[in-house]
Amino acid sequence: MIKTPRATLGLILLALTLTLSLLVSLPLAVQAADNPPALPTDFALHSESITLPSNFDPFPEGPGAEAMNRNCLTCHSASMVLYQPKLSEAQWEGIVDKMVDIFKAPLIPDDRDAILDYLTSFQKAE
Amino acid sequence: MSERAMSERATPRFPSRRSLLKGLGIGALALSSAASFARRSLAETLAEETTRLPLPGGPDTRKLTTSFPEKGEMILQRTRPPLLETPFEVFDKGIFTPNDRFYVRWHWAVIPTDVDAAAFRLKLHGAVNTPLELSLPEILELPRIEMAAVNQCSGNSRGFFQPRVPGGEWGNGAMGNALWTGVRLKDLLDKAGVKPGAVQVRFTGLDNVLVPDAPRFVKSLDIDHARDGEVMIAYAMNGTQLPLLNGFPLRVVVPGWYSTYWIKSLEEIEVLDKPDDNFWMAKAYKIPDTPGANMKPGETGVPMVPISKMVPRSFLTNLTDGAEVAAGKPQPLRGIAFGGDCGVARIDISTDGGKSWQPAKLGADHGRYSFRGWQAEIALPKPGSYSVMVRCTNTDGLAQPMTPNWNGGGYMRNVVEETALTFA
Ligand code: HEC
Repeated sequence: MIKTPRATLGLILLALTLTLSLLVSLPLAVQAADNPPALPTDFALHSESITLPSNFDPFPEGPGAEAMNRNCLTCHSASMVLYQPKLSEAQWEGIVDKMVDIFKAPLIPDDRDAILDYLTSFQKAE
Repeated sequence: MSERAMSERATPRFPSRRSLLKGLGIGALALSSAASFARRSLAETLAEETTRLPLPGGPDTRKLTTSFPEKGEMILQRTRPPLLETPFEVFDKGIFTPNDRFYVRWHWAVIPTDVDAAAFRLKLHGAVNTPLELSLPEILELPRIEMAAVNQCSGNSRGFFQPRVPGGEWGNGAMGNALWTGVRLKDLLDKAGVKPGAVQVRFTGLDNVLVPDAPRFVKSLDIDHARDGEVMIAYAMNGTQLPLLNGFPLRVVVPGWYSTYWIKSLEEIEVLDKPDDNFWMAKAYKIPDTPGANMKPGETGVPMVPISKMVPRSFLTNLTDGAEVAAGKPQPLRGIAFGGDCGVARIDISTDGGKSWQPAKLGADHGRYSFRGWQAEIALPKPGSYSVMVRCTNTDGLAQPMTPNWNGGGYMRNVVEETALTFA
């Protein structure tokens, strides 16, 4: 992991904690046995309501990007596609078929070739 | 289709808040003073944007996010539906993974965002004598059980498979350990009275598909497993109600089994009189029926079975790959382990590539399904590069393998982990 200011701060804090725990019990203590609190006998559940961040960021530009935006952003963010490792043309074709046959993606038939072109070329461009 | 999903779809390509903020510049950022940014300086916000997992061949840069409700900083694998990975340093801080850092994994874009605790009912029906509709207070009145258990995604660590396989490209953070409190599924089933001929029990959550006819995410357990007295319907996690993203108000807990069965926001329990043949049971989450779910890339004709029990794993948590440490001095090591579907029998450490092993000391025992802490000390006299290996052997005598398994789904990775250290 890249060290970030907060991570460094975390490490310093960790080091301090470790030093303290070393003073108490040598050598390095195992992870804190921080047992979660016991549930009160009158424990009750309270309604929850959240707002989730949305994300319809388009695919990076390139031939076929528009077809990707039209067909591949309905059910999941673009990162589902963009974070995939390098895959072969046959693998990409299999994935598109799975989206249509199993997950019932309403693929615009005329966009299929453009989608496959995009999928097989965006990884080469990296 | 829900209203929420409709409104999401009606505003496609709306820029994310972060990119919006970037576009507007610093002044706007200061003005906006959104709650999640208020506690942090601009420098922090910018510096903390990304992390590397790192995954062989990439892409392995991921954004860090604090934009999700009831969650602290998480690795953003996917915004919609959320896939959030626990940053690995969290596992060095304790045996129990805090709720606000617990990983998140949903399949379909329609997920519950509003649950009215008073109106909620858990339905139990199918091959039973008395179908039930239980309110949350009614469930809270049933005998309470508590269990520490690891929840791990079937595809945790998928990103390390070689050759790489498609799917959620996780590092090692799609797991967590929590103290779960709830009721025995057995007690609910007994209350309804299971009819003879019942074979499986199917769980459905409040999440749903976006397009009609697509397979809803549902999972089933064999009836005997469902009635083993350990499978639990949990209403609390680490001493409080579950975050919505982790399955409020009720979540199935299947101790020792992969998380795919731990249906979140459980709404419906159906007792089946024939085996469940839905896509998520019959086609997805299948592993080769071989030791360690291992096969050769390209191999055909391998019998496949549904994924089930977890296998042992262990991790070094106080030093990261590439760390520099002092030679000639004792170097403390510590980490976490779990046995899979049983307890941790032993943890061994090797600094010579697995030729010799020294036992580590085990931490407090929180039960066989929990993470177990361990500690050890190594002293390497000469400066140089060494790698530290950690190996867990579970109470059934199963040890982590020295070579990684492979299968097309990217499931059940549990190879002995290796951390490179430089002693200087
Ligand atoms: C009808 C909904 C839907 C549409 C539209 C859709 N997908 Fe998917 N996709 C899914 C679901 C569901 C998953 C599984 C998600 C999970 O496991 O979290 C998935 C997963 C994936 C994955 C991960 C690999 C895998 O097999 O799970 C890739 C890559 C992918 N989709 C690509 C695409 C592409 C490319 C398109 C456009 C042609 C597309 N999707 C359109 C529903 C859809």
